[in-house]
Amino acid sequence: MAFIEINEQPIDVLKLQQKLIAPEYGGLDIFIGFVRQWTGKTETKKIEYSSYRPMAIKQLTKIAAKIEKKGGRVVIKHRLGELKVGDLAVFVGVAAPHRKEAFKWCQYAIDTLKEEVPIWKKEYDTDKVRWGNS
Amino acid sequence: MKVRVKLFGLLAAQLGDEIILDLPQEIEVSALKARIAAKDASLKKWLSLSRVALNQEFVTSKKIRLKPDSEVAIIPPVSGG
Repeated sequence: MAFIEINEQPIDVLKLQQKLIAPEYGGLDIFIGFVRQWTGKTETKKIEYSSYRPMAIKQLTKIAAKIEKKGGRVVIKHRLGELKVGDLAVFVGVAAPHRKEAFKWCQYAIDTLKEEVPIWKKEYDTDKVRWGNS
Repeated sequence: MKVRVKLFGLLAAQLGDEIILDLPQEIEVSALKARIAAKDASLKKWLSLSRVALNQEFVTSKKIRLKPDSEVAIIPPVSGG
């Protein structure tokens, strides 16, 4: 059963990782996204994440269900609120019987999250404020 | 019929988290976006990039059918992760 969470609490990597270890799996792939300081010449000071929470949970549940139907286990946590450089923003962990599926499914989960899950970032750079990747 | 339309991201920053619109039972997605653009023309570009969600599901058709309790949301380009 997938574990999905979206809230303002910090991401506890070890605690989330623990949820993915079970006898039926032999591999685990984790993607962690955190706040980057530099994007080219743009310096980021902080990011504020917001979401349409009930829909975001629904969308993440769909992503997880697709993977779990094939035999994996999924843990996804996205943090909301104000994050500074280096703070963890997202944890996507997928356990699978073998590494090949673990890598593939984890990539699918984070790529789909970035396209289909209603979460937004407001980025505060040293010289401006911008929404998303605008 | 009066329908609450939820807004997010830049749209919410400009117009608030929710607006109430008087809408017909059936409306084209483009017409719904135009109603919001009428409130703030500077949002046109963002609205053109936005998707619409009905009861927390992305709308894939051109038209939506509304009920008084429908949950309508405008979803600007997402940027989580």
